[in-house]
Amino acid sequence: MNSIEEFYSLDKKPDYAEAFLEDLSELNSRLNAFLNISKISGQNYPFSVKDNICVKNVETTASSKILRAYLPPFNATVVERMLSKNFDFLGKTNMDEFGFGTFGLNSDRVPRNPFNEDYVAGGSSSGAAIATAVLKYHIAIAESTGGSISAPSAFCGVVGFTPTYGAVSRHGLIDYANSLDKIGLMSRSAKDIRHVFDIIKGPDNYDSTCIDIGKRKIPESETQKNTIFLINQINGFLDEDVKSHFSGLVSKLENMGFAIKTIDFSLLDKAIPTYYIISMAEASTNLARYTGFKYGSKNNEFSHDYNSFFTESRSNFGTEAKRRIILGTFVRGASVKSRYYGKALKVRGLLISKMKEILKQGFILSPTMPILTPKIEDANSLTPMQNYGLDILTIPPNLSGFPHVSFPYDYDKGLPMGAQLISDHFNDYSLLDFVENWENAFEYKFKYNLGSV
Amino acid sequence: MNEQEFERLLRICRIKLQDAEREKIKKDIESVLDYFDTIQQIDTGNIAEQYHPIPIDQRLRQDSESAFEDVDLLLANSRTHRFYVVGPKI
Repeated sequence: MNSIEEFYSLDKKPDYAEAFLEDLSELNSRLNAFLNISKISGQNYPFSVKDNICVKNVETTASSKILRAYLPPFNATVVERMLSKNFDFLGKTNMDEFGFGTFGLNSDRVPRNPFNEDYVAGGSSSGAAIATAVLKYHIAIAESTGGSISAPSAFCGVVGFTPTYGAVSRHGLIDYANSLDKIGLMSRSAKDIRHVFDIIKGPDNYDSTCIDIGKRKIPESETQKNTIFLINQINGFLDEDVKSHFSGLVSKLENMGFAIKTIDFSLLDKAIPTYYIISMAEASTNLARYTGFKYGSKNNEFSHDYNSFFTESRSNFGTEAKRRIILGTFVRGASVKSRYYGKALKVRGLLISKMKEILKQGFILSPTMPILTPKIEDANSLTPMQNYGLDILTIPPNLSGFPHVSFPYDYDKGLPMGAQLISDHFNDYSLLDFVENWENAFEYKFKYNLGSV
Repeated sequence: MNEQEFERLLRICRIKLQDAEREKIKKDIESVLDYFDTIQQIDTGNIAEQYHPIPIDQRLRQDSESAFEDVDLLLANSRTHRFYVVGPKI
């Protein structure tokens, strides 16, 4: 039984929804998972939506001051599909501004790890991961550009699934980087993710980049399903504690019958600059639409000329957003475009072909993050370069559009740890099969189970 | 990047920075660009520029008219005069 079926079989008291919302509101004032919470009936299974995905007439800001008070006049396709299957919209979840961050700290309301509030929850889908870790019955609609589903899922001890690029419609998603953005899911079990993925995936007339993964799928061999590759170059980037926990996971998988093989992938560390060039270039064009009169917060100084009006309005962006707009604009400049943006697009092509060679023979497995969960104050003191470097394990599948899943595999001093499994394009379900199998032998631990009866 | 180039870049981006933020971002940019330059060492040979991670067919829809029901909600996001959106002068 998945938790969705379990929820509908519960014998709930008449005040179930009211008591649940009260508890959630109180906990949320400490953890900052939700930016707003909606009233629900308690009769239908609840889902949350990352704040960069539009919900009709509900404030949607991507955690940015520049979009404050923006009320979308429509639902994103993914929201529409959930509502059509009678799921209840529970609220918008906190995130790094426009998805720019690994720890959730580029938000006015700092998200906190539900296992220990001094620690980060991860980003950019921080609120989605916290909500999943504290609510017994709930599924989160999240989004990943460079690791925004995997990283918080690992730090909050939940399953985070990022499908093949294009598998889920992005109509209604506030773009960060169009060639990288993917809508995905977080849950406490692979079964629930499979159930909801079946609802939200598939072509959409409003998104010409959305595809039918079923039509493209190539049958996998038994060897491919049972082989796991570990990349040799990863070892140089891992904390000693992470290495030791991870080797425990590898032994367990060997005992479960998986063939574990090691392989070289010398381009691994080049995925980071490639990713940041492409994502910043695309972000700088996407963020040009925020001009102070069309969406969100208003600049009412209409007597100013267009350039000063525009410049004044854009002071509402946070520092990381400004940094990315400036760098992204620079790498697209006529004199350097082929040196940075053009070259990065070619390196992406090379990375995809090299990773595909490996993924045709089996999965790629690594820890999701190279470090243990950091304290909020430590993460705050990292330089941008140190920050970007910590995305080394989540960027390769995101840059290449390969489906991947982060699943909890151990706990260190009470904080969860996640591992990330990558599969070939369109083999999304093989990841869910793997995690379902893993869950048979793994006991999830959660500090909160709001919504239990 | 010298001061003049940085100033020009800010103008193109329509971004205004306060002094402290300006120093911090300018310093970060130098090190990030050095890092970006490390991809120059990679031999990409004849590999084509990969705009999407997977091949995507060019799908087009019928160019037809359809009604949008929530015009009031759409316009509620802007300051409007009659059914015009009010913006700055160009």
